[in-house]
Amino acid sequence: MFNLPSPLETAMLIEEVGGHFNESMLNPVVDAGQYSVKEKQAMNLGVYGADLGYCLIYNQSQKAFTLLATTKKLGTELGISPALYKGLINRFEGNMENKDSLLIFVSELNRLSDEYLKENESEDLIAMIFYGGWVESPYFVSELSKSLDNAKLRARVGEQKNTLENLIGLVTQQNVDGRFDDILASLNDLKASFAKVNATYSYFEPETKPDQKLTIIKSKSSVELDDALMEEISNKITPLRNSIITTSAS
Amino acid sequence: MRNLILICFLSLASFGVKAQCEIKADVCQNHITGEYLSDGQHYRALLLSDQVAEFNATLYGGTTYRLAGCSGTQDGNLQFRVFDSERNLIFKNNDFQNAPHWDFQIESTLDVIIEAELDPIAGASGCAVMLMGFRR
Repeated sequence: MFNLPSPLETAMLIEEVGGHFNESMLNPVVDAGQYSVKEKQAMNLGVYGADLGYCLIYNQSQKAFTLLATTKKLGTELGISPALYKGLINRFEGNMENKDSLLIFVSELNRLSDEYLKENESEDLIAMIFYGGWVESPYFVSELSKSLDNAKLRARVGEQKNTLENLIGLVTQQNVDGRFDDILASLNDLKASFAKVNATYSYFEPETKPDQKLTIIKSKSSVELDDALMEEISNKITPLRNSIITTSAS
Repeated sequence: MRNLILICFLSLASFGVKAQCEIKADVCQNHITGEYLSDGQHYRALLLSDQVAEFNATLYGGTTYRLAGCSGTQDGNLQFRVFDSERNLIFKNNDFQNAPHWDFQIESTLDVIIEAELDPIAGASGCAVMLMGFRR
């Protein structure tokens, strides 16, 4: 099984390093009906989910609410129970000024959607949701890196090396009939670029504090990628992301 | 020798075990308390007593993660272990009475492998659920 980090984690990092909110990076809100194929709906549910988290991090709750409505349309098209959204939207409306609560609601919605789709044996759609959500995070970081040279942001791109492999594993599991061949070809092309990332890792003994039910992991890692490699990765991420968000009306 | 299975969603469907692995994550979810945000994923698998489920994850530096593992309706039925990518053992919950959740404070980003199996005392088979939350 493969875990992919929540897009919220990268959105938090972007805010932490001083990146300003940039609405132009978001997938424009369109009529969800323009994504007519299930796989495309799922990919864009992932994209909008990442965008929604990004808006919340920057206290753009009104914008986030609009995106939530779009994710509801896409989610229900995919068979996710409207009841799941109804309760959340009510809670969202009642807590528009409370960023922490909104983040909890949205991350909980994502988990419940994941659970719902798994119970309904729609793991192929889950893979596409994660594909869309994953692409959005390095897209944000690479766009921001054009105007903000920050070591943590650069490292976050390099740290996607293993996450990309997990994503490829997840999509490959669902590619039983070859319908994700094109996506896998693009991801493997991206993987070839990530293979150039110089990653180091040194194990250090962790420290466990039983009274706090806590283990501090002290191992050290680093990733290095130069400007040329950043640009190479960015030049592959952007068209990938654009191909996801393109509508049938485009 | 134990069977190592890579839990995959397909395996659940293809072996027709869906109906036997439909427990809700509520038992586990109680451990992802308010200060943690869910990673948005719900990991589950039907395990036999000699099977080990495994999943790969990346944990980012500067973040604290909470891992919760459950099987059945009571805490303490699931054993889980965390290894780094070189298979150095970082943590195992059966050192702590099968603690149903544990926090991991990450100083530097690392890739981990998480293994889960039923406590033999808990029965010959069961549905394992794992959840992950994070905070910065």
